[in-house]
Amino acid sequence: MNLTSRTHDGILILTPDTDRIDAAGAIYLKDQFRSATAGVEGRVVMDLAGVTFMDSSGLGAIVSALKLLPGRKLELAGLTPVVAKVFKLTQMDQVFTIHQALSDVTKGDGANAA
Amino acid sequence: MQHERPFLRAASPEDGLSEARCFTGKTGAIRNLVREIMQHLARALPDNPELCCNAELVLAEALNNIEEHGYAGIPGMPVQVSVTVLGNTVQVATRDFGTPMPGLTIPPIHRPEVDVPQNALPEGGFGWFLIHSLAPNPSYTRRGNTNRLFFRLRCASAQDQTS
Repeated sequence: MNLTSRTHDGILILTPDTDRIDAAGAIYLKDQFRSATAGVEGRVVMDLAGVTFMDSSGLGAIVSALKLLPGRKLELAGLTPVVAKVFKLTQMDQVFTIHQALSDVTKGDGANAA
Repeated sequence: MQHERPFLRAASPEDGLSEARCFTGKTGAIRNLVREIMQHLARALPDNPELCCNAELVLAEALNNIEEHGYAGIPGMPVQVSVTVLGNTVQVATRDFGTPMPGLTIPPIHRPEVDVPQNALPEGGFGWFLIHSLAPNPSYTRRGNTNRLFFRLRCASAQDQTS
């Protein structure tokens, strides 16, 4: 599993290149996240629109990623139904800033976006 | 390579029953097994994607638990699964030959605490909570050297629609 990263108006946007964040892939997420966010001080958003399945190992990996940003938020965008269910059942939806879609982040940041 | 992919044999595709087994430790073997079972389940329950997704979560959590705890990550150990569809109910049964569950019982319902400082947030312990949430009253038996888990999932919303 790889995290691809790009920057939009100073926001770091990370996208997993997999449709599943499960026990087999979760172990790579934290390391990838650590390298991608090293030295980054602005907002960090993970785009999960392409992730159709996440289990508790995947959730644990996302939590461990959040802890790599001490005192900051990790924003998540585009949660698909299963992923949203895992966050809601565990109440982790209260811990992260969750956007319905990545476009909400990129639109919302540009104050005068058309 | 022959064990890299699980084999799945559909005992009776018409009633959605399928049985499968795989071996732990092969990269992604559990994931492939879950995927193959879900393809069968999606065909058996085309109008009930929510029930399918709940079953996928329960199955994945149960199998990961067997691999990580029952077999302590030892590779090459067998896990057997059967999935049965009965109307709006999905029954999942697993069998493995790993160490018994502590106390010979299913872990109690415990929701990891999230109202804590960020650096104290739990990174694990969600698996059995998710299982309890999606498949109430899971059962476990130990007989000889065999562990058996049994889960029953029902789709409340589908029931509401039909009643």
